[in-house]
Amino acid sequence: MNRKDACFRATSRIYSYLDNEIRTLRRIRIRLHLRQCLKCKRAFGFEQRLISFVRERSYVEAPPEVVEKIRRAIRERGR
Amino acid sequence: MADKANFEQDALQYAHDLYTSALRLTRNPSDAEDLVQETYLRAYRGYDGFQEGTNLRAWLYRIQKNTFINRYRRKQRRPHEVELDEVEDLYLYKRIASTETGRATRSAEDEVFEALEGSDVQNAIDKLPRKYRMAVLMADIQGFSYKEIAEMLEVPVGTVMSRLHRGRRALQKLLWDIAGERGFIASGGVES
Repeated sequence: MNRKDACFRATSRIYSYLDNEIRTLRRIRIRLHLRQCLKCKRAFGFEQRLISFVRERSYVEAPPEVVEKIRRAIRERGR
Repeated sequence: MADKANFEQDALQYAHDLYTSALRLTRNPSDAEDLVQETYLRAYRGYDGFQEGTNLRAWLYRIQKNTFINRYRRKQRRPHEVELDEVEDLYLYKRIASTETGRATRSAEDEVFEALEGSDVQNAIDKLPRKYRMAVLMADIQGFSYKEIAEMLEVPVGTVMSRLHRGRRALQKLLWDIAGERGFIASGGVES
């Protein structure tokens, strides 16, 4: 397989790879490709960083008064 | 069988997680608060039926998802939702790379990430059509596996993959547009 095909194959499975949702053999094949291809390695690194970024920036703590309200609701109306 | 006496202690630790996803589902704080409260009340009433040792967080999410669909979907205001066109792989990475002479460098990447605030990311997610938003929410924000998401949404794993992957790519385009509004291009060094 030439380099371009290998890049295409790796990229088309990038999310399954990063999500750890890929069969072992395919995972190994992609890992080997990433060792040889700096371009794909960077792209994979970027996607991983982006997913973590989205996760961090989306997290919102419930305001304490909301948690307290829920606690009260469970105690009063829950039974 | 779970003991109702332990419910508060067992379940309330997930209030922040449930609130985070309630905000993205309902897209406003007051509905989110109602949704989380309703979810907890339903969960409490049904706690006898929860099998101890199974995933409590996933169980609460399923209740939240069902509550949302039953009670909130009909009255949802539907402001602006983007049509989900097919967006190419590595969309954001390639755009950032195009602002550099070579490929994406760490510094251009950093600039984009620094340009985007938490509210930008949240607004972008809110613009995804609901089924894609739910997939992104459950995988990227809550960290559930494809299989867990498939069970919660009652769709095949293949459908979860397609929604999640398409949703992520669409999100990249939305984020790129926002980064542009935030002035990334201007400071990104594109030569005219």
